[in-house]
Amino acid sequence: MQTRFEHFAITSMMGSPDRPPRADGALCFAHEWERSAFGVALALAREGHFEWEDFRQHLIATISDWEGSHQIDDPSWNYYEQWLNALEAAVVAAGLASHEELVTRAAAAAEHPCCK
Amino acid sequence: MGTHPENSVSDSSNIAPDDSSLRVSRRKLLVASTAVAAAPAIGGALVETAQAQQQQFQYSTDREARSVARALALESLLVEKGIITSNTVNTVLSFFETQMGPFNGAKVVARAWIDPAFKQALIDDTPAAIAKLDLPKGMAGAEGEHMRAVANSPAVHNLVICTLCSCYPWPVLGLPPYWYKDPTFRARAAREPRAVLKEFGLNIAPSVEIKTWDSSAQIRWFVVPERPAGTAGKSEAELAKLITAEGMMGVARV
Repeated sequence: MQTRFEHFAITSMMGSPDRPPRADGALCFAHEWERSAFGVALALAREGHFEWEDFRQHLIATISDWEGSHQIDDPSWNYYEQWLNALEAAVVAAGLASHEELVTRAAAAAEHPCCK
Repeated sequence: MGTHPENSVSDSSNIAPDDSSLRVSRRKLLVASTAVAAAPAIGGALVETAQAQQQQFQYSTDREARSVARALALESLLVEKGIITSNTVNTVLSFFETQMGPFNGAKVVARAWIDPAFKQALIDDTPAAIAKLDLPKGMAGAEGEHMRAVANSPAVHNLVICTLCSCYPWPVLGLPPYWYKDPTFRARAAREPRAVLKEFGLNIAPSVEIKTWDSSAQIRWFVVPERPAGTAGKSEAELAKLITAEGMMGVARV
């Protein structure tokens, strides 16, 4: 069969600790930023800026860090926060932007009315 | 275990049964999908005072705002650098939102509910019937081409199983839930479907026959569930929203 990258990428996560949350079989996002972070990660890998597997390794590592430093039933868990951490790490590792650029831009964005 | 009812809804426990750490993390995914972060994570101790709750609220609000800012910053920076375009991101997202969910199957079933002739055609020649609907390209091709629909009735309940997710009609149903691939689920569903369905929260009356369909490389089955009572006034689009992937696998009523 023909396989779309998007389908391959998400299917490859099935059964793994880094798999995204779903509702009724479909991906679910609680907030627009989660959807955006999801789309950016897939778009970057699809365009070849980094390997999907490399992004996944960042994601698995950030999830593992979180689990190592929190109670197992900590209700403040948010999958897409880990996704965002992993995405930033993958972007920096691929040389697409520096950590400083991201921090500076995020600080500026935080001043934007939509982030208040 | 693979057939626990909560998984049919949340698909949240995709783990080996012997790995308790992963099991916990899957539960957290369920929490994450239904609620905004609600408490700080310092030492895990929650002090139930109004003040502490106020701080917690503040904390999670700030945390949320920070995530919004970071996601916005990242995307805008990458777009500005010409690394991605908004269009690339939208293309990716629209694939998931229009093609990879159970949306296509839901449209097919909704049409079958309102049009008995289409329903009959769907059972007789599934790909030909689906090809008549205005669905995204690729629906009838690839894995969709060997699809067969079976209809539930007051006398018969259908259940679809398969050992491999490659035999899942994903153009219709979206990605398969993990338990669908679980060998235990498949073996038990073939042997004692009534008991397995009961674990999914679906009690099938003893008078109703249960037919189990094993998807294979040749045929991928999906179920046309019965139209729920009290939906006489609903439009085709409204009906489609009622239909779930689980319903089309025969492990839930619609």
